[in-house]
Amino acid sequence: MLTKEFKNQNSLKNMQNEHFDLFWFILDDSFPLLVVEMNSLTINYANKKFYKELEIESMEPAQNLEKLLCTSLLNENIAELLKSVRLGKNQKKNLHFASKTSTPKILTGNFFRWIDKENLPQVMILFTPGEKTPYHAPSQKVTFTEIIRSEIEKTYHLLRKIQESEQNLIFAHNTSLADMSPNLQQHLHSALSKLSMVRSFIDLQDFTNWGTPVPVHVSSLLQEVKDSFLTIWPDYRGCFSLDASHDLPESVILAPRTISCTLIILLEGLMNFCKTTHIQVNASRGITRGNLFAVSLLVHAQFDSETETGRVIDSSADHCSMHELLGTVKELILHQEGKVLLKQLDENSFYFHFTINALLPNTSNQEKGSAMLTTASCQEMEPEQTVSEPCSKTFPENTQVLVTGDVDQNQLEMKEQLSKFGITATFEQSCNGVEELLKSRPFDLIVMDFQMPGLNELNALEIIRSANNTSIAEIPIIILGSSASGNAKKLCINAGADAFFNKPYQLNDLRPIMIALVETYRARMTLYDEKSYNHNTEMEKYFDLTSLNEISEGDKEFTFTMISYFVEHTPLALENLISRINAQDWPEVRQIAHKLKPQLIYMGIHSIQEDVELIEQYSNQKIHLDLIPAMAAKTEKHCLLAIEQLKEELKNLEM
Amino acid sequence: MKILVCEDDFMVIKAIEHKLTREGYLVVVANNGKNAKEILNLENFDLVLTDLLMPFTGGLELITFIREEKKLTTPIIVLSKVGNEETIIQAFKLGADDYLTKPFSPNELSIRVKRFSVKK
Repeated sequence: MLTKEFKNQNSLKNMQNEHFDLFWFILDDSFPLLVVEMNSLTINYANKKFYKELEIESMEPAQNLEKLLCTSLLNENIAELLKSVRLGKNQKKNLHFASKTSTPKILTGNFFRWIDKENLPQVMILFTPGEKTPYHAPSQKVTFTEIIRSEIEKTYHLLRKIQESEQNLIFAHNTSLADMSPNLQQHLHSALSKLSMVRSFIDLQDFTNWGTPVPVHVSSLLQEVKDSFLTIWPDYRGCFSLDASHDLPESVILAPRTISCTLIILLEGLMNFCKTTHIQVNASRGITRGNLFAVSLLVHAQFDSETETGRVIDSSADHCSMHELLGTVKELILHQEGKVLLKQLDENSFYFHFTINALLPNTSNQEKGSAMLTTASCQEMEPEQTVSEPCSKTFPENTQVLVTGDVDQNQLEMKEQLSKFGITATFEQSCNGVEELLKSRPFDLIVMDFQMPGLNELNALEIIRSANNTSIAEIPIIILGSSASGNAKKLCINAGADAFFNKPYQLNDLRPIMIALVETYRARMTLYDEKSYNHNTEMEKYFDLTSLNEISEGDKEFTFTMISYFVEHTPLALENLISRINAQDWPEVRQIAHKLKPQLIYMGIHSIQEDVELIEQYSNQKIHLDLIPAMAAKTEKHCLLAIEQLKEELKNLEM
Repeated sequence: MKILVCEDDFMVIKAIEHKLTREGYLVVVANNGKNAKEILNLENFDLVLTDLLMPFTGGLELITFIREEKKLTTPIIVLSKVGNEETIIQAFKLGADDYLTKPFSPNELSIRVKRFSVKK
């Protein structure tokens, strides 16, 4: 495996003497002119602007493009160029491009369809634009980095196939690794390092068969994937990354194309995000019941007999009530002990983020213990097949566990067993004041005994999850409850618990989950530390007066007036906002949010500008009203913090 | 040059007033469309800057009042938020001359206003 980096065409030219079988371009203005001559392969690409600068009137079609797959995310000029190529002598059947309205998914689809499995490219270059390139549909709130990440993931998949056939490959991109976000870097390295682990399950996907819908036994297929995966990666505990773009067909849920699409996504998720339990689903456009069903299908891995026989939520309707559908999906996910955040961005798109406890510990036996992964096949397991075996994996060094609740027989036993596992457990009678305890010393995991009616536990969950300090807010929490406690499980998971176990339990069943949660938490904290360490000092300031200073042009009196007004009037506006939300007076909520917006801009309170915008949008369209209270709470919190800091600023101005 | 600013947000008013006064314009503020109508019945202006979404009488109504009832040709600049294109188009149909999307930079405001003072 060879990874090369280059930032411009000059460095690309330095690679002239190397042989490449395939170029994959995602082009935009970050390549104003690209002329590559390597062996007999010549690629010309230019945009209009560049030609204009050179005073060249017409564009010459590119030459010898038979080995070039060019995809354009953004730039209509590229499409024009490619059109001219298509119309010219050099039209080749293997030339594909996507219009600027294409989604990354379509690009990837083109890509995979183009690849000849029998004759894989030996050496490939992937070009990607710079991070500053705007995405073609900004309303989707998808950053270009995310798009690129998505594309790179898709490419990895190809790389894996190549790796499998033991051929050589060059992966190159026009952005220096140093310029990438730490997250992306990590994914890149992690995916690269795991390439050698993928073998058998690749065959499950047939990229060339996108044909007529046929009945596919999804659950057995998925089980097959999972088994293959666990065979080659026995200690996997991670998550799924799913992307349900509009190119998933609506009415052919059980068609091979859907299956391969979703499997690709699933496998990529498994491969690339093994250190987190977050799942992000971006259903970008054209939301249909079919698309969402496909998503929920994968998320839950829930293929019951009804779905196998083709019963989907609705296989025929093109578009349906988003509310109704999201509600259904949300319910399903909650049922699967996941956490859901749904944000509607506009009429046709929404952002769908949820966490699901899809832990896949190192043997299938834990599935019963965790009761977390509920594929149909798991449900079908016979009890005797799921008898727990001792888990060989050990807790990370110096694991600190906090156990809250009455120390009954079970917990005394737990204490003893935990000490055998070599971890330090601290026992607290009650979960009241747990946040203070967490502030005073670090813990890796909380095990909470759910005591009816459970108000203390739910309250503690809420306090922990809304803590400012990420290391507290993200600490894994396991709830020990009773099946008799009604919807306690749902309430706890919804309030932020990571897992819920019914009593009586076997600690051996809990152990792999506990280990996985601790490891994931530590990995996430390390990543977080790396990512945010340098920003922390800046982040602590909740306002930014750059914009106001620009307006004031040095007039301190004006600055003082503006800040004073904000400090004086905003608390009342916030109070009003919260009270109107409680009263479900949405026109008024919209009005308050609308008025708050410019003020936040003047005071530079960037952290909540988007929230306030969404509050205005949601209350106006009367959608996702359930998301508004949380956003308003965040707005209030950040504003009040900013106001406290601004009061200091006023004192400075007075002096 | 005398400018009527019709806007209900205190901070936006202050920002506009601050910039325009510094540039030597005479600024009169109305807090809503109704208030602006009353002022317009008493005084003449060289330019009107108006928000669209306001209590009582909105910006569109104010534009109609200026063009239809008062038959004034006073240039009107509409202040609007991003994404409100349809309303802006409507404002143009009713007789608005230009628009500024909020939040705007002081220089942008200054340039737009200057354009009309030069025309004058």
